[in-house]
Amino acid sequence: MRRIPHTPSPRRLASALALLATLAGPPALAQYRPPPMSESQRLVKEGETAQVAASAASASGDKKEAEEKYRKALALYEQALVAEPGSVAAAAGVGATANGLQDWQRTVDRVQPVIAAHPGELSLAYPLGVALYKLRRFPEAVPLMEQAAASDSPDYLIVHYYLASYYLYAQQGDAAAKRLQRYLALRPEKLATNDFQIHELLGRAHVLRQDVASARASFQQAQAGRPESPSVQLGLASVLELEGRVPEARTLLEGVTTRFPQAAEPKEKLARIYLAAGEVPRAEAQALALVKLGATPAAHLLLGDVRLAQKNAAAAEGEYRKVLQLQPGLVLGQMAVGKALQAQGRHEEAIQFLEGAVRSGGNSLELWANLGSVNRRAGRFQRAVEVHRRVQEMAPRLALGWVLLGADHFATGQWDQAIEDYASALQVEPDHAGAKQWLARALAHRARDRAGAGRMDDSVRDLRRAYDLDRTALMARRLGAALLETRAFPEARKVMEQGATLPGATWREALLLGYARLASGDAQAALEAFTRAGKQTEEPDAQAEASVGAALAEVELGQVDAAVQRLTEVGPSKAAEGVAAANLPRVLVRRALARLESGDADAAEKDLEAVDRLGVGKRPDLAKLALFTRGLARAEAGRHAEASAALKKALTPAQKWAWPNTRALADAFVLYKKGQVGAARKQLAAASKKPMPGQPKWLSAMTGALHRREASLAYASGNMKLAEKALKAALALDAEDALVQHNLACVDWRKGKTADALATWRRLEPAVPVAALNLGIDAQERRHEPAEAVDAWRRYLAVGSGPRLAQVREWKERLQSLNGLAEPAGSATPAAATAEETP
Amino acid sequence: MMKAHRFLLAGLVLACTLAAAPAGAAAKKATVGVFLATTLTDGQERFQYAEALAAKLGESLDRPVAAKSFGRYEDFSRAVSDGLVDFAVVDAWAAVQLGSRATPVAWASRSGETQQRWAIVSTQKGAVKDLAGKRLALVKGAGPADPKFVTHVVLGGDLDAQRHFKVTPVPNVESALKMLEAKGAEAALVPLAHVPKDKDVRVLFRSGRVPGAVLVDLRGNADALAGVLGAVGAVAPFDTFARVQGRDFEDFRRLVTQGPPRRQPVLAEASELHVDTAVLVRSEELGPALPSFAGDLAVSAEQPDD
Repeated sequence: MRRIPHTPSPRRLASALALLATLAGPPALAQYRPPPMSESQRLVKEGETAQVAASAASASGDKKEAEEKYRKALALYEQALVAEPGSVAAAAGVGATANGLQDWQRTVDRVQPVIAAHPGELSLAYPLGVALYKLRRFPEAVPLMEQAAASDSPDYLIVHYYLASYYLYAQQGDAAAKRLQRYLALRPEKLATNDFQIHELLGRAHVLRQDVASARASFQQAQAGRPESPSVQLGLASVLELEGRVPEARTLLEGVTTRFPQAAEPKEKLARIYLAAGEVPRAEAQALALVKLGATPAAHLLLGDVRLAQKNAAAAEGEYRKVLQLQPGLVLGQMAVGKALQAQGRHEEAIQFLEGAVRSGGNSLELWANLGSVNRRAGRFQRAVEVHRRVQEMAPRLALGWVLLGADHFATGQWDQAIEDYASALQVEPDHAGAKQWLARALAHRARDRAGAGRMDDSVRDLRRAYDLDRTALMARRLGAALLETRAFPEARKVMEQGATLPGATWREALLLGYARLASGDAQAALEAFTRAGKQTEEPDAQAEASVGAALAEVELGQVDAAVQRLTEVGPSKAAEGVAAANLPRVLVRRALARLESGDADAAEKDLEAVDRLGVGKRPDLAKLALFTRGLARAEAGRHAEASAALKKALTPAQKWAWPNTRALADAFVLYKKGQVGAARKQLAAASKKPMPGQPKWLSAMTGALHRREASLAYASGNMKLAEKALKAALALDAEDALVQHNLACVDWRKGKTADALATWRRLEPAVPVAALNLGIDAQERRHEPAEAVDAWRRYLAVGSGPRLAQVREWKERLQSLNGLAEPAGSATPAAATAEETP
Repeated sequence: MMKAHRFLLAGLVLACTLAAAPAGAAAKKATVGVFLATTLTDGQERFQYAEALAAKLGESLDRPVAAKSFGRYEDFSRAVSDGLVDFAVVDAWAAVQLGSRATPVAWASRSGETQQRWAIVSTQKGAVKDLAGKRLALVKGAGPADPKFVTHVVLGGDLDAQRHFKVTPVPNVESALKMLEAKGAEAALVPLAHVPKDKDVRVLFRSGRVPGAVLVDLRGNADALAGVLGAVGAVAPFDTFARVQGRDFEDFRRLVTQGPPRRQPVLAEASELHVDTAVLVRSEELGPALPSFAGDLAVSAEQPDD
């Protein structure tokens, strides 16, 4: 907001005027035309003659003669204008000569009425523009001077310079650079010696444009082959500053201020650098030296700023008031006084002061803006909005007014209006960084309020917009959180994948990324994110939260034991504890199911007991699933009646977590366990009508198991016909099933087909150890070959697993003892001997 | 034996005297018989046990109980037939031979064991198979049923005792071992516990575990008898009686009378089918309970200023 006026220095203005005087003459002469001449024309002609003489005198350095001739010319032109008030030539003459006499107001008074009837007339636009410029009526002067400049005529060369000076003052670097470059292109060779001044100005223009390379080149050109210039050095320092090389800028300025103790600007700049770095005593020393050098507004402004930095607001106020004494109405000074008053808590005075400044004709945008903001800071929001609305009206093409209104509404939490204000600011200036930033923040505020009121979808919409404006990790986290809350997991993941990589991303972004990945079904990636989150923080609470997240991912990856361990040893965080408590029952139920997959009913029951102790909170679906799992565990443990009751209760009414055929399948399982093959088969058939994804394999396994179970029940009860039928059905499902082939041979044996049975058992013995048992039984029971039986049973016992081991051992030992069959000597021979026997 | 007879006579006299006592003055007198020809080898030991048991039973039943110790199965069997015995502690094989007359009540265990192993012993080396046609001294029971016990129980049906041996009946274990010593038999069947360790006797065969002594009721008072077993407690050399559970005795009786069932081929058992979580449960419906992220919507108190 702070703007230092860059008024052309008197020295430079003088040379510019000389130039103007040199160049102003010829166009008037060129307009001479022969008679018939009116009175006015005659007077003009006489005026021109006097003007030529004046120019000649001026060129020869005779100031007195020049002034006298100019006055004469002016008088003649004015008479001509009276004779013919609309005469362009007369008006142009008045303008040129009055300007030559620096009588700017006269030019304005005489030329303005004429140009109104001849808007495109450059011979009028040029002197009028210059006069208005000299009177600092820039808004009126600039369009006229631009007209003259657009002609690219060497006659109006000076306007390029004036315009550039103005644009530098108005901080419009591009426009300034353009004019200065035109000037260099158009200027006659004899003026080339002063190009260094133009290069210096061009350097300043490039600084405004933030084009450091061009700025440095221009300043270096300005300095080349010339004695060290403090102002050029100042320009180079500002280039360094722009490049972020502040220490170098500072060193440079320290040198310049030492070598040129009388140069004010470098001193001021150096003091500002000190001030910005918080080196108040050094800044003070420079500021005091500057004031000593000359009590300029800039010097007192600086000293005031130093006093303010020293928390001496009263002294600062004194300095600022001196600024206004030296340059009454200086906006910067007025704002500074307001600021100093505020710093003393004198808000009302600050407001009154600025109100007074505004009333007394300081019709500056900055002043109004400041007045509004002072009101806002004093808590007078209504007035702040009124004043800032005026700023907006004064400068409708600037974002400033809207930004200020946005700040007023932001301060009172009127998010809707603040958002509208900032959006309007961006319509005027689409790249306004402040408007973008605070629009995003206002949206974040409104999003939070909306989320609090249960309007999650609206909240998400605000945050999406905010994140578009403000691509920061923090904003990504907000949007990601809102998306997770609305269960928009894939989008949440997309946002957090980016958010977690933005600068400044913390463990928290990694944690949200973990949850987004987990919820969108990528547990492996989720685990990685949670692990990263845990490593990004040293806080035990945060680490606990990351660990709990990791546990949830582990559950999905089947690492349930590790997950249970994590969830039962949460650590200090209340938040983590909450997540663990909400998930542990579910995880335990899942582990119980996993236990049942390996038939471990006891372990499953233990997990379910733990679930009972923890409770399932507000999750009736989970309670039902726990009951369902308990039913399965009871079935596994042989408690069939309890199993059936639990399963029925668990699935009434139908549960979302169950497939449509879950009930039939669970019933089939219980009936299978109970040995009620027929009923089980009926349930299985019902369930198989519409198999769900992933079921066919198990359905087929169940069908086979039922066949085998039916066969073994029939076999035990001596019903060989049924046993054979069931085994053949099982074999139809899997012709390679060695166990089924073996059992079918048992049925064959019982039916008298002993030779077939023996052949099958011998073939299958390596795969089915029980075959050896049965070969022994055949040898002893049917063929009465005790030695063979003992041998077969020895082989069976050597495998060490299978049914009836103790009994078979007794059988074998009894036969050995009765028949005197000792253990073969070979059983103790080394492996090498055996190897020799079997080539 | 003379001594035993005298005691027996004295017992009978006593029993008659007591039986003659006026009815109603005291409960009717009961008799406990002891026939443990293969469990307790020493006659004196059997007698002392019978006396001690009778005393304990008398206390517990609150009625006088007399003891009768029998040395031979036919004496014992006759006394039972004559209705002279109310309860008896007998060798399990003998209890089977009593048939439906005896109701098994409890096992008499020794050192915590209700079962014992039997052994075929000989003074010669070799296997049982080598003793074909040789004499086997066997404690005598009802006679025709005796070899069944050997074939079915001791030999597990793998050898027919009657065909393989010449069975030579003896009254008890002592006499069986004496018969072996006197070369009256080439082999003897005795409980493994009674095989003399010092003498030149070889164990050719050890049986599986066979029930030992059992307390039977012979007069339909099984429940009353069972009720006092706790109070009777241990009577040396036996431990406290252990109730006969379920069909234990019946299984033994069937084994003795009918022999072991024929061995049949055994089916190979496939592993049990277990549940599959994904088949029964839509696990995506059981996703994690996510925490609330509302806190992450927090905003700073920072205000725009110019």
